[in-house]
Amino acid sequence: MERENKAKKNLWVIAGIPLGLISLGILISFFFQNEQVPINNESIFSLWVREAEISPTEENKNRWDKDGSAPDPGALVTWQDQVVLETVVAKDSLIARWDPVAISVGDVVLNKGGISTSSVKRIARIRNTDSGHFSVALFDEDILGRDFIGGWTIPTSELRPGLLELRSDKPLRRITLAVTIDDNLDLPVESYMPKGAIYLDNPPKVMMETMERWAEEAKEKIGKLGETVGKGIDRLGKGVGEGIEKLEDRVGKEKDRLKKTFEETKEKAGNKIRESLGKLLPGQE
Amino acid sequence: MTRPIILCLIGVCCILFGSAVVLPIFTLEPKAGEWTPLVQIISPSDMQVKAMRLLEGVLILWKEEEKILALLIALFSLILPTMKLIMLWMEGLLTEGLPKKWALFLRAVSRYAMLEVFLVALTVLLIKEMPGGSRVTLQAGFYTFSASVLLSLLAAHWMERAPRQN
Repeated sequence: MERENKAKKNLWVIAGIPLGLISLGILISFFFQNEQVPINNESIFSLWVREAEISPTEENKNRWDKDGSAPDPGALVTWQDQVVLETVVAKDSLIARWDPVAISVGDVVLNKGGISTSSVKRIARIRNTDSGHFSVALFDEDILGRDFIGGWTIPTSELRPGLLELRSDKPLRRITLAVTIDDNLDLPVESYMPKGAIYLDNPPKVMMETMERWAEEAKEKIGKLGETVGKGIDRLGKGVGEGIEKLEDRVGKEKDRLKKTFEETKEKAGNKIRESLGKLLPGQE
Repeated sequence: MTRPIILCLIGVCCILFGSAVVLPIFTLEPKAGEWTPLVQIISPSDMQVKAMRLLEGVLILWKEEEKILALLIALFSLILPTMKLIMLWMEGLLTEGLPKKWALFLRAVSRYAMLEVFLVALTVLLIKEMPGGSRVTLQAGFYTFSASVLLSLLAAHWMERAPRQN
């Protein structure tokens, strides 16, 4: 009986060896596959903001937009005190999504209809360094510029291919960055949470400068709009004045014509009466 | 051919098979004919070179609710080859040989040994004929799988002829 049990046990051990060898093969292949894309200090990561979720109200419980509509978020990524990515604005979204490719009409016009794959990529390229950081922040676009929603500062050493996800209970509830290597625009499947990321309640200096630029641009736009509206009103006023003048002129002319016609008719009628009386009473002048 | 050499051969087959499970079997380079540059701009992710792996393929099919197909592929390209290798190993190692039932099973499984290779070859042929110039290139996974199947066939053949040792 004992010998039989031992034999059975041996049988399982024998069957386990090929399974172990198969696992070894899998491990070797994984090792070689990972070797193909080593991540080191020279690695350049391509990243784009994939998705962001924003709380329905601001921290002070105010609505994002005065008309009660959802915010119009746009994202900024900064690295080494430079803006390396500015996304397009997603209109009226509490959950906004962006693609790594966006074609603007401006691109087409500026390039006289000719655009290439490199000109339509909306990705940030960041080098992996041990001590560096990069920041990502969301802004709500309105007529006077853009308001800061929230953001994160993330150590670059935490970058690796995948979906980098950050969550908080602040206005920027969740943000997902797609991270790939060497401009690969395939959306990664695996998601991960980086260590050492810090939530930003206020925008960093470089973002503040960009916000100031946006505010200036908005001011210019409003100025231009005011100018255009003023010109329009002037043109309209001038048009109305001219119209009244023309109308007065025409009324005057009509008045003269009527007066003339009346005089002519009066004269003709007098002549006719005189003629008729002459026929009725001949010899009487 | 002595049994230790055959056992070594089966060990190599196991390692090759393990590699074939995770290595890409073929890569697909999608093209849309003369519209390729335009599609690359509009939808670059669809034009990326895609690598097809055995295990990944089965998981994708399962997630996409193609469960029967996923089970079939898993059975013929993952489960049966694994069982065949285990049985060949046991046949080589056990002095009294495999029990009759298991030996019959081994013979039955061997008939489908080249099925996966045939399927891959067929897929490659089909995609090569696709319009738009899409290109398929066989990768390391295909060669390791084929090598594993061929070596296991050879091992089974030599096993039958090798003298049994006590």
